[in-house]
Amino acid sequence: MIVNRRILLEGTLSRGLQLLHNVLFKMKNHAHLVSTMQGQISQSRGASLTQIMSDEPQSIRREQYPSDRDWKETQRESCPFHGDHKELPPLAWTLIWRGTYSNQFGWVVEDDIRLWGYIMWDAARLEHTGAKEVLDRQWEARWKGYDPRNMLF
Amino acid sequence: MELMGKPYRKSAATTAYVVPTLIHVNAPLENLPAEIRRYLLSMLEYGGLRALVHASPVYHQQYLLDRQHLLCECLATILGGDAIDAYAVYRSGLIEFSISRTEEEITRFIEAYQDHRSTLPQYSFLKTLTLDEAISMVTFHCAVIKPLIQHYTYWALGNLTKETKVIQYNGPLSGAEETRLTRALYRFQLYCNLFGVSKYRVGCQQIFEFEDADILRIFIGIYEPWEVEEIACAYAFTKEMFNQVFDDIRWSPTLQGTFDYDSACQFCITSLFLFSIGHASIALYCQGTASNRSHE
Repeated sequence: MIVNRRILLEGTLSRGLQLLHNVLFKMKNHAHLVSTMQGQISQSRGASLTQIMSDEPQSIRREQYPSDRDWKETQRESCPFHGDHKELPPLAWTLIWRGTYSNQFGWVVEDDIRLWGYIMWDAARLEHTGAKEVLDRQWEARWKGYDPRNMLF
Repeated sequence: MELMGKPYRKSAATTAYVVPTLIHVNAPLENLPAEIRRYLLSMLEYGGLRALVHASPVYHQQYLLDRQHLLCECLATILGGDAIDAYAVYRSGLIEFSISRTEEEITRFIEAYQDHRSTLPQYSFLKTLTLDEAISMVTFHCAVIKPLIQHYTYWALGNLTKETKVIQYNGPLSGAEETRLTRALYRFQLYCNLFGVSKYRVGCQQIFEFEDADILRIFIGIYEPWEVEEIACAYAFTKEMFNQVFDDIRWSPTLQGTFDYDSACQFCITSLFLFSIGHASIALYCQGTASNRSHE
């Protein structure tokens, strides 16, 4: 993506969901969309979430401020699927990390997996729709059997 | 910053009941005793509450007497465990916080939020909301979050169908799915309120000196990693949606009033040229500087 556009896109989306809602549901025509965006397009003033969740900041954070979650990952603490509950990891998560704890996020997961909201869905939906196989295929294409938790340090 | 530390205030309307001025012989629901009517209203989710209050003058009167209590009950029903996230979004979205944010205030805000997440019973604090706060939170949830959850679901499951190549019936969201989607959107919004471009500012924006690792530590790190991935999914959705908007308004010789972001000099990105709507001239839209230049 062209640099300027990316910076403007990140800044504009960081204005929040009210603006997203407006452009999705409230626009009467093209001119209305243009005039709305005219007042809202803005360049980002800090790092994007993509940048924040990339590998380097995460390595720095681990090195400077190690957390209990890092420890649980190092120990490969058991983290199996125990049913769909708001407090518990969903099936998709336990599948990609093979039932042990992982404190990885962001750069390890490509957006093609996020586009269908892999982490949002219940086990039943993953099973019934064939999403489990899609996840398996996309994760395998990204990591080819390798465990990215072994890459750090 | 004090986030939720207000004293518990007993609802002033606890004992206020409205006596129907007219007895409706064929309206058993309206002839119920006031206590039961009040209880009934407090049991309804927002759509039902709204419908009944609009349909019945008796219930409308009852609602007006007891609005703060009923809206807080309603918030507890619709938000459940997400109430703290929703309240943090409300507080961080206020103009006085947004335009005067500093690194220290943002850090203090997150500390207070994290504190309340770990100590408060999930939504008991809702009773302490003022009427204005309750109205604002209910409105944001029903007018923005709910439609976006629906749109997200339709969009994401549509993308899934493209991957599986099988069109199939997608059942309604489960409670757990709804919770994941709701908190993902609220937390993404919280991220925007804390670190993003202020929705109240058109021109000059604040610049924070947080390192990426600081944001990971003070904000992202308070969530479980799969919850961070929920936020990342909400972010991916938002990015896709705005990407389409950017495509729609991108400059082309045949479209009036469009944006030419791609040709602007990489080192002069404070200047974004807009082709002004309905005029032959080209307007210069300048972010972050007060200078205007002419462009031919």
